[in-house]
Formats: sequence, C-alpha cells, structure tokens
Amino acid sequence: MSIIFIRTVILYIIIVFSLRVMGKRQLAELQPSEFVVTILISNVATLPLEDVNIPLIGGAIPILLLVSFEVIVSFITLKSQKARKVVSGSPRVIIRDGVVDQQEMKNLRLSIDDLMAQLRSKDIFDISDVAFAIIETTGSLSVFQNFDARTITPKIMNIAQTSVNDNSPPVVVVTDGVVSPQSLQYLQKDVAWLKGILDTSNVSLKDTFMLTANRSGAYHLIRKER
Amino acid sequence: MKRIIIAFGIIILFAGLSALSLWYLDDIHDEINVMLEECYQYGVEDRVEEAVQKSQEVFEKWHNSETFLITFIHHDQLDDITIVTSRLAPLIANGEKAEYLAEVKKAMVLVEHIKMSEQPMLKNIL
Repeated sequence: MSIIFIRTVILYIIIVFSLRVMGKRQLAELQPSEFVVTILISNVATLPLEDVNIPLIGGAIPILLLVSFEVIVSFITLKSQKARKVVSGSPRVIIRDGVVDQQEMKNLRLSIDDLMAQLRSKDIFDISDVAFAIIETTGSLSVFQNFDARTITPKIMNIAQTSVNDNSPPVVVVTDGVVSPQSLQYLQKDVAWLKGILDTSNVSLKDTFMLTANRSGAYHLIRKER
Repeated sequence: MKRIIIAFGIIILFAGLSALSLWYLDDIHDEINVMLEECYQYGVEDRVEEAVQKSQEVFEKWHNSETFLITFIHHDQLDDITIVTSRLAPLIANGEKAEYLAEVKKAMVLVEHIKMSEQPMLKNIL
C-alpha cells in the first residue's frame, strides 16, 4: 500500500508539472489534439497505480513525452497556418446571413438538436435571431446575432464613457484576511485606504472573507461567517 | 519559448535514457549469458563446487543489476529470473544435475527474452 501511496504522489507531481508545461486552457477550449493528450495522460497515469509490477517510469515517460509532443505541435501550429489546418482543422460557418447550411451540418455530423442545444447555451432560443453561427475547431459554437436581437450596449445607445475607470474590472483585494499588494497597486490605492474601508464597515482584516474593489473606489465586502 | 526548450529537453533526455537502458541490458545479458554458459559446462562436467560458486555469482550479479533494470522492465519478468537463479546453487549442491541444467537453460532463455523484448523492433512495437 505504501508503494501505491508514494507512486500516487509522484505521479500527481508529474501530472501537475505536465499540465503547467502544456499551459492554461479550459477543458472546453482544448483543440482536438490537446483533448486527446489530456485523456491519454489520465489513462496512462493509472497504469502504474493499478499494477505495481509496472515500473513507475512506464507511466511517467508516456505522460511527459505526450506533453512534450503537444507543446512542440502547438508551437508549430502557431507558426504555420497549414500545420494549424492539418492538426486543428478550420472553423465552419453553419449559419450564414440567417440561412442554415444543411450540407455543412451533415459534414460536421451536427444534428438540429445539437445546434439548438448550443444556441440555448448562449441564451438564444430563436434561430431567426442568428445572423452567423460558426463551429470553432474546439467544437464550440460562436454566434453573431441579428442587429435587433443583440444586447444593448453603451455604444449602441451612444452613452459616453464617464470615467477611464469604467474599463477596469473589480479585483479581489482581500482573500480570507490576506491583503493582495498587487491588487492595491492595480487600484492605485494604499493600505490606509483599505484600513479606512474596514473601519467604516467595522470589520477587522482577519474577519474579512473577501473584499473586492474597482478603481472608482466602489467596493464589496463579505465578512467571515462565525 | 521556455516550454519548447523544456519539451525538447524531455524528448532528448528520454531518448538518451532509452539508449542507455538498451546498452545496459545488452551488457548485462552478455555477462550473465557467459556466466550461465560456464554454469552449464561445469554441470555437464560434474564440477560441482565450481558450478555452485558460479551459480552463486550469477545470482549475485543478477540481483545487483536488478536495481537498475527494475526501473524500466516489468517486475514480473525480473522476478522470474531471480527465482530461477536462486535455485541453481542449491540444485547442483544437492546433486540434482538434470534439473540444474534445465534451470540454467531456462535462465538463459529468460534473460535472452528480456533483452529481445526490449529491443525497438517492429514485432515489439506492434
């Protein structure tokens, strides 16, 4: 049992290292080759855990090599459009000017139910609201809605930006009682400002579960539950 | 760029380790094979004391080399040879000549099998 325990720890470290080398992507955004590599890694990693007769290196080498090949292939596809097309394919337009390309859907083996499910996941329940829909190489659907179905934006309403801070998002300043100096620096604030907020809210730093704030000085504070 | 360098580094490292493992296995195979041939000869010629000593040397040699071999060869395969080589000295010491000779041959076949099964040949890859 101790062997399995130690192997699990070692393989976990190797997998975390491998995923760090592969880089940050959400599962839904993986290219087909990356998705295959991710699944392979998870399967290969179990082999030395299931059977202690298999050398640990029998799991480690495939994992590290798969990741290495993936990094190299990603680099090549980054530099070469041809390689990108071969490895990842190209995005396909399935709705153009409001017209569904049925042949393209057949080529992609995409059913109407699949299409409607993907549209609904984007809060689109009426296909006539869609001007363009593109199936990306990751399999996800990107949608460009008709003008009258689009969400109203300040630009459409000709609402001018009131402050340069309108484009800066709120950041987490305090997490579980710990201050983030980088966040304070981003907000162009200091510890005295933070202390002022805490004093106003009658909360101590160690009782702060989370504090977010933006550059305009608007903040949101959550106390720790007792 | 750092990732690419790490990726290439990993590939080169494992390619090197693969070559090293093949070389080491080849080396051990040759050494053990020679020793087993001697064991067999001593057994045939009824040179019991020499056979016992050589058999013990074979077992120790194998046991020492197992430390590295175990990192890349299936443990069951190595265990088979360990078990066979451990039997050689007692067998010949107790006058079990026929079984001794059979076990020596078995050990030679097992060692040869391990070496051949690690070679990057088409039949092993497929």
